[in-house]
Amino acid sequence: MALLILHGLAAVFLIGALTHQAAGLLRTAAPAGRGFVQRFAAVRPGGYAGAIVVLYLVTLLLGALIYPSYALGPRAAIRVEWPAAFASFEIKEHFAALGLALLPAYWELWRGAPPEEEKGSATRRAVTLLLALIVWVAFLVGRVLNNLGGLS
Amino acid sequence: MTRRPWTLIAPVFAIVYGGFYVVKQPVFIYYPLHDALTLERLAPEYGPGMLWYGWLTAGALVAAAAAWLAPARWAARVPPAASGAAVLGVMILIVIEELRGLFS
Repeated sequence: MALLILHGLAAVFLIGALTHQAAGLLRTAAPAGRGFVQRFAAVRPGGYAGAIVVLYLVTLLLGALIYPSYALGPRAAIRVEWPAAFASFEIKEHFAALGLALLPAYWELWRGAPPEEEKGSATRRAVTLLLALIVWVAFLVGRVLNNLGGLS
Repeated sequence: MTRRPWTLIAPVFAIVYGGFYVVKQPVFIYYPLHDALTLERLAPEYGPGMLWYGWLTAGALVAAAAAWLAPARWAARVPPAASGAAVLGVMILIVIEELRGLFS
């Protein structure tokens, strides 16, 4: 149970950092405002890259450690009772592995990025947004499955 | 311009992982009920077998080997955009396969 909570906490930090970074990348050149969304996006995206790599690895490692508990626990019941949720988890586990594949490219594309070019190339933006998509899918599926596990 | 070997990692990982996934070929199987690693499928009484660790390990090892051993000119031919494209392609393939399994 402690590992599951740590996994969830690491995922929250990861999704927060990656969403900040993605919002900073997607921010338009509009003048800085005082609204929540504008403040949320008013970050230097490059400052998050190192933390995101570490948090991704920690979250993945913790997920890999607790995965057998899911396989031996609620997995069979979820497969029968909620097949769509079961398929979603299968997708999540594969997405998480492919996110690991993306990390070296993500890190290299951000490493040493000068502040004035923080939005950088289309490739850097695409890889970052793809990693954000992976993390969001994994996070949402994980939370839903966690709740279903309690119901099964 | 010579690119660093990291351009090979994501495409190689994605191809290896996606290939094993499509053919459902185990690299090794972990049986958590007995805390056992095997190279072949065991009888149902051993509980559920987990292939994910094997696929992840295979993808990571082959990708690392490719990045380490491949000549620099090979890496130079792989554009950085191939990393995202390869991963996205395998993600789409996996979604299609899982949806097919769900509705078949």
